[in-house]
Amino acid sequence: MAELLNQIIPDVVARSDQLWRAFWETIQMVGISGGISLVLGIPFGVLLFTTREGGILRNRPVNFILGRVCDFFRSIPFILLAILLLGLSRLLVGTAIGVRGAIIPLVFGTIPFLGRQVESALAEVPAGLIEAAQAMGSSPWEMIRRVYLKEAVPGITRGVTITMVSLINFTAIAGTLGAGGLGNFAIMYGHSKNLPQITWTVILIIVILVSVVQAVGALIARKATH
Amino acid sequence: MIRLEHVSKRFETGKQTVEAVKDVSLHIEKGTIAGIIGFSGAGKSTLARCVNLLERPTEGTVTIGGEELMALDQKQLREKRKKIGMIFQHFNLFASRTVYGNVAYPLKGRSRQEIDQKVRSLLELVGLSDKADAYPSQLSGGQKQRVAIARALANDPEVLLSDEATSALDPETTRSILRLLKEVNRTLGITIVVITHEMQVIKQICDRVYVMEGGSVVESGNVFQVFSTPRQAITKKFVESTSNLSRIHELLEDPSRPIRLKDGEYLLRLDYLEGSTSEALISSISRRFELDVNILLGSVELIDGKPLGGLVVIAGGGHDKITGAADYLSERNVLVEVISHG
Repeated sequence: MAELLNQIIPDVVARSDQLWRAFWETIQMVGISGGISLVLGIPFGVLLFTTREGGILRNRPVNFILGRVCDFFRSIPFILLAILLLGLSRLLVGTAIGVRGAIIPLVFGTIPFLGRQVESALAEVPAGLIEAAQAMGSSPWEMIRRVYLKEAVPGITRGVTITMVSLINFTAIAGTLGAGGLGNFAIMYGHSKNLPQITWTVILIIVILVSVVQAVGALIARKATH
Repeated sequence: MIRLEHVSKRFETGKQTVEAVKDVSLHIEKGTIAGIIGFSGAGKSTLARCVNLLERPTEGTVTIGGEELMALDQKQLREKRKKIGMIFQHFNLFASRTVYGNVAYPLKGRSRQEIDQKVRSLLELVGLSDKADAYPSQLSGGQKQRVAIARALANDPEVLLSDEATSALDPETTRSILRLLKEVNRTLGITIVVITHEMQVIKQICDRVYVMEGGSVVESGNVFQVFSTPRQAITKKFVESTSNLSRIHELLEDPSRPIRLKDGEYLLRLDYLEGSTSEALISSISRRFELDVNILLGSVELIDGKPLGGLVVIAGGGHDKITGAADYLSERNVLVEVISHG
């Protein structure tokens, strides 16, 4: 096997240690910033939705501000957002490079995206269910936790899947700005040193990674749909 | 039990103001089944939502079991709502929960054992003990509504609001759901408010009926009285909707002329009014007045054991005999109307 690989992609095998490290860095970036984004992005989406006109926590000023902030961050191309947040990253985590330095830009790029995904997943929950819950004496908090979030599991899962795929894409971009990971590896060797084997291998790994994320997401969504 | 005083509800949509409910006062007694009937847009669903303050009335007061709902704070209102069950046209079951999970939803906070006992007994009441682990998507419409009823009864409510609960069901299922509601009313003593656009529903289970039009209650009373002597045009329309007697006009206009009156024959419509007897009127008049009576259309139902409805007949025998028969019928509280004659 090793012999075979060495024949097909010798450039990659020669740098397998770096590749392995880059892969691990990408996993770390996706895992950490993905985790933070879930913890903050889902409540953000819930707030975006429930403070809407006619929502159970309707609040026009809050909804307006959240909506504008969300659109602001979403409209900035990620590469510019990452540059913009270098200073903030240094302030909060002490560095703007490496895996640690990538977390802040990735989180800021992901939360607004996930928030909108969650918002539209919640909008799919039939209004009649909320009316029924209200008629049964549920509090707004109960309606969020026991009705919206529970009924919207398939929709939210699909939203999270799309978000994770876009996050993987973001990590590759972050890699070009010194974050490390597979993106950085492909640029450094595949592009700068003109080793197409490296580029293609990285692409293959990322495609597999995305496929795994999508397959897991689809499985969870299917299991949660009754 | 339920007392609405001068309840109005206005909706502001941009510059337009829609008054969905206009100055409605009504009093529904404990343990009764009250029906609110109206065409769509009459304001009946809004009125029902005013009972548990899903819609807050713009004016007026809502009192349930002696408690003034508008005066309660959010927390108190939520507690009160647990004592007011509600079922809906589209069932509104939680798709992500099983039948058991749906019925257990309002029981949050009690011990597991208590919940289990309550859910099992409610499922038994609605006849779905074997479906506890099914999801709503696996049930028929009638079964879904049974689950919704079980869920609405979970907190032992004093009042059950039924908002078009049978409108999405076929006639047979409708009857079985109405039977269940009646049983719930009888055995648990729950006051039920039924919102519907179907007269059949009112006839089958209600004690009293309120007819709504344009946001107001235009006619009310006990069901038999309102049915037998409808005063408002809208009420008459509803009464007509459950009988086929008005089809006679279509038949008369039919170009193939299925009805041909011979000389001396009269086309009559007989309506049983309040207090009419259940004696054999048709054979009596044909014997006493020597008439040939041919029944074309009939729609007679028993409400509270009294006949309600009417017949469309062709009576042959000439003017004098028929006048005599008409007088005889009128004395027995049957309204006689000559539709045409030969």
